[in-house]
Amino acid sequence: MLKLVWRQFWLDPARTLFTAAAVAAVVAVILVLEGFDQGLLRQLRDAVLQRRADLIVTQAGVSNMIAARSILPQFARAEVEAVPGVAGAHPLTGIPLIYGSHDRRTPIFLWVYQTAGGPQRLHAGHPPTAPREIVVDRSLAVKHVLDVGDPLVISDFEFRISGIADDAAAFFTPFAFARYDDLIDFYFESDVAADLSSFPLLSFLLVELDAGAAGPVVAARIEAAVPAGDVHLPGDLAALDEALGRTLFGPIMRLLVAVAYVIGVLVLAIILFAAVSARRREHGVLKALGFSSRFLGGTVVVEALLLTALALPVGIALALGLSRAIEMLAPLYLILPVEPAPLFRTLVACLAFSVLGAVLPVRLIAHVDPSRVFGGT
Amino acid sequence: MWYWGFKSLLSQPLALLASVLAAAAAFLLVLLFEAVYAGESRQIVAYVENSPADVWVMQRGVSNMHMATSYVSDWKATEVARVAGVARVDGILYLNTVVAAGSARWFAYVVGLDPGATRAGPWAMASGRALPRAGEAVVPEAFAAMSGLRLGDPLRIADGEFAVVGFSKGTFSMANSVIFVARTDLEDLMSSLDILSFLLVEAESGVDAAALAARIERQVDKVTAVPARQFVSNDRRMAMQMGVETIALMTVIGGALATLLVAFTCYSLVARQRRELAVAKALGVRSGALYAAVMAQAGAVTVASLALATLLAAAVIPVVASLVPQVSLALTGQSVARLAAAGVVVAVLAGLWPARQVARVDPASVFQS
Repeated sequence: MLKLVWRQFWLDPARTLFTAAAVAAVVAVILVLEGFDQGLLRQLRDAVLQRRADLIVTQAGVSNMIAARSILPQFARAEVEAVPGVAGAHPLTGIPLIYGSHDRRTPIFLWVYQTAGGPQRLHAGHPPTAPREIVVDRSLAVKHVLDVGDPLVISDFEFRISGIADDAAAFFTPFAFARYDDLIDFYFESDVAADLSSFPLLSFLLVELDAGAAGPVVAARIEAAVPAGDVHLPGDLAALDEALGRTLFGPIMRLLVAVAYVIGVLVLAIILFAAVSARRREHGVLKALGFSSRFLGGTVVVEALLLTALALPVGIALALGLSRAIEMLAPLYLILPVEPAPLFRTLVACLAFSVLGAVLPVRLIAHVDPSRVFGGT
Repeated sequence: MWYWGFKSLLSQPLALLASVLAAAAAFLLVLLFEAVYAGESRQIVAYVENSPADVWVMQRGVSNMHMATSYVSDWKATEVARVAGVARVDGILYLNTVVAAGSARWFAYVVGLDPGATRAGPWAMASGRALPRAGEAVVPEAFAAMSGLRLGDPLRIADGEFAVVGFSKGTFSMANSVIFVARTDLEDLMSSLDILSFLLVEAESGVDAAALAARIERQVDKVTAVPARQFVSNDRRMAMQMGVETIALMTVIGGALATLLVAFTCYSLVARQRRELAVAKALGVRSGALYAAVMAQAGAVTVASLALATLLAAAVIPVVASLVPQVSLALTGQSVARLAAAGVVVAVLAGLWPARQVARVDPASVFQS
């Protein structure tokens, strides 16, 4: 059976190539969509983990870092630093803002930091050190054609770009990083209020533990000492942000992936239908020679599985290429097309829909009348 | 040859149907992707669009609401109220954060309202009270359905607990569900006093909104005043700009897939009709006419696929909306028009390879078999 299928492939190599390309394209589309979903979740997780803290203190009742507004009282830092086992508590503030230039507006998330929590991977330039310096994610730089040394005006306050960061985005939003001194100037210059204490100056505390101190033990001590805050292990907070992302984006991504699977079934169906239809006479001859419809149907299923198996590596390579291309064009997105779980799911699903796609052609074979072959029809 | 083209296309209706379905599914993928952005963009402006303000006033340098942070000292509301042509000013405090009801969590815009600020509150109610008092919250009915919330149940925002007193309509979306609480409660949550985020200004009858906005900016220091129509447009444009790259990429990917599928269909047809093509060539039909026939086949399959995808999208979107209420989808004429333009490219590209096959058909081959 396998030999028969293999020979059929070589009868028209161009057609085989075409069909394999079509199946590979479907596999690539599914993997890119799955990778898009995985990338969104990874970005949410990394946004927390990249702050590199042993513990993270949020406003009481707040258990997300991205998308949630946390506002801690300023005295919380001293209270946390007084807890045994704490080597330091580094302040961090997150402010959602809009950056606009040339009639284009982009929401950004400004991280204001002092001693920790700044950008982790710099693509160019250096972290902010001088007054009014700011680091922006590469996606913002690409979208608004910004470079190191360029001015960046947010809410009428002019920063100067000192660096461009890689992998500093989440929740469809690029990050920017500035220092606390500039936040104070930002508030003053914007003339937003007479009393600066009215404004959010502290969102999170990134806690650094003494060597040998146990995270959960110190966390419990901080919880007891600072009632205004909740303490989280970074991994736990990252998991909560990821879970929120899954809740928000999951239904849409599942819908799109489901459509991609439907395309997969239909593609296989038309390819096999066309192939079987073109070989109607041959199937008639084989039937006349005593081959059963079951056997011939089996060859179609094997053909579908083989075609899919051949197309899978090409589809994976295509998905990787597409993902890199998308990330180059729009660095805001991280696409992870070969994460183990979705990759396995896609491979199994592709093999399953190759069998499903063979249903119609198998029915066609069952209806081939051997006597008509000799009748010339 | 045109007649031959269409006749051969219809000679295997099942194969044609499968091809059209597959290409339509590829186009549908693009339409659904666009529908997500269009639906979300529509919801992003829902609050701004439904608030009966003529002019919006905010922190200087800010010009939209979605994902923005704006702080205005509350005494500026009094200054704005003194500007000639202003009939009424309502201030709101606003915070985007995560809210929790039971085990359900959702990203939301929390709007803090002053007592009596009915114009800044929900514009349509499913049940309960529209204006929350201290310790109360009004939530979107879709969120209530998702999380099993009933009137009187608790809702958590940071460390504050609120009793749900009303379910609003049209205020739910993935990107910005709107929850209403009392402004004093929100001030406590934000540890911020005497500030507002936005001022909703009602103009006196006959006063031009743009002129009033300019007057407010002149007379009140360091604020931005934007006519409501422009404010809505700013938010909508920004929301769509956020999706421009992904929509373009999905159009390219979906279009490429559709090209491949339509090309495969035409290629299969040409391969099947090789003898007929050879006969046609032997009878003196020019290659140009044959190319045109193949291109017409590609065009017909593409048009049918596009039409089917549009119909499917129109049918699927309301079903998805009722089954998955957290997804806001909207099919727009613009996205259909954009896809139709992409369809022209698909049809031309899809016809190229089969046309090459036609060119290679040797008229003498008809006498060889």
